Amino acid sequence: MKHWMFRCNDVSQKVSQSLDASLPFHHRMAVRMHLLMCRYCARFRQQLIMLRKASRHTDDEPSMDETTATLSNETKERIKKALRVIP
Amino acid sequence: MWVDQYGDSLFHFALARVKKKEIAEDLVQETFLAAVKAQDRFRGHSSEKTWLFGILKHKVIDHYRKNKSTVHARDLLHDPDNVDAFFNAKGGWQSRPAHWQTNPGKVQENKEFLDHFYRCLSDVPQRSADAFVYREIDGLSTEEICTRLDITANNCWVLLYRARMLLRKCLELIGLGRQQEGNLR
Repeated sequence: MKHWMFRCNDVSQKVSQSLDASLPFHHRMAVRMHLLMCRYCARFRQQLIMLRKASRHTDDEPSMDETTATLSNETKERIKKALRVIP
Repeated sequence: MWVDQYGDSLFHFALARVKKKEIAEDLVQETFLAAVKAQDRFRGHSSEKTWLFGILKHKVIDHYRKNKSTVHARDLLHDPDNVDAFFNAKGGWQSRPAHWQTNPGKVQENKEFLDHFYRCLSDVPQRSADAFVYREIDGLSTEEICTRLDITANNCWVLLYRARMLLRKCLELIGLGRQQEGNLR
């Protein structure tokens, strides 16, 4: 495979890999060139970044219904009790 | 005490995903139990809170796996192990990535997106899903995932690629994607 001729299937793999490791310089350049020309692969890359953001999300803004929905003291005590019996 | 400090925020997260108070409480309790048992393994790379949320996310995914009640990605994706089918013989997209009606910068605030995300993740084949969760939720490096799954770096990237391909396709199929060919970017 000539790296300056990456196709969408190659680029999708490289884009995914680039989120986990550093790509060799020539691959990086070839991917970048492809992304400039291919809106679908560019969109794919943005979607993978969204998956990453979704994965790392922690705090939810409680909705109206959930604002009052906190762990009751009773539940907290039950959990603490369960934790105490762990050796 | 973790329960007082993080109990409510973990509960909010669980409730937002599973919708039922009793189940959310159980998941939070299981999270704390697992955390206490594994506290020696807490490496301090992330904050305590991030670590606890990581455990809870595993629990949420397991819960979805055990309680299939909605659309299954596996039903939608004919052969989840064959990601080659996403491309045509010339290497182009068989089904082009659609425009998502979600603000990329605010994906964390989009509850619908997050719900679909966890449901879809629970439908990704186990090994690929494990690699994805280790990488994206637990923040492990490729090397750490290789050790944990006893695979090579190349295998790890293949698993991660497969998980990401299936996840994004699943999200699209269950409603995020809107083909707007006139308004692509």
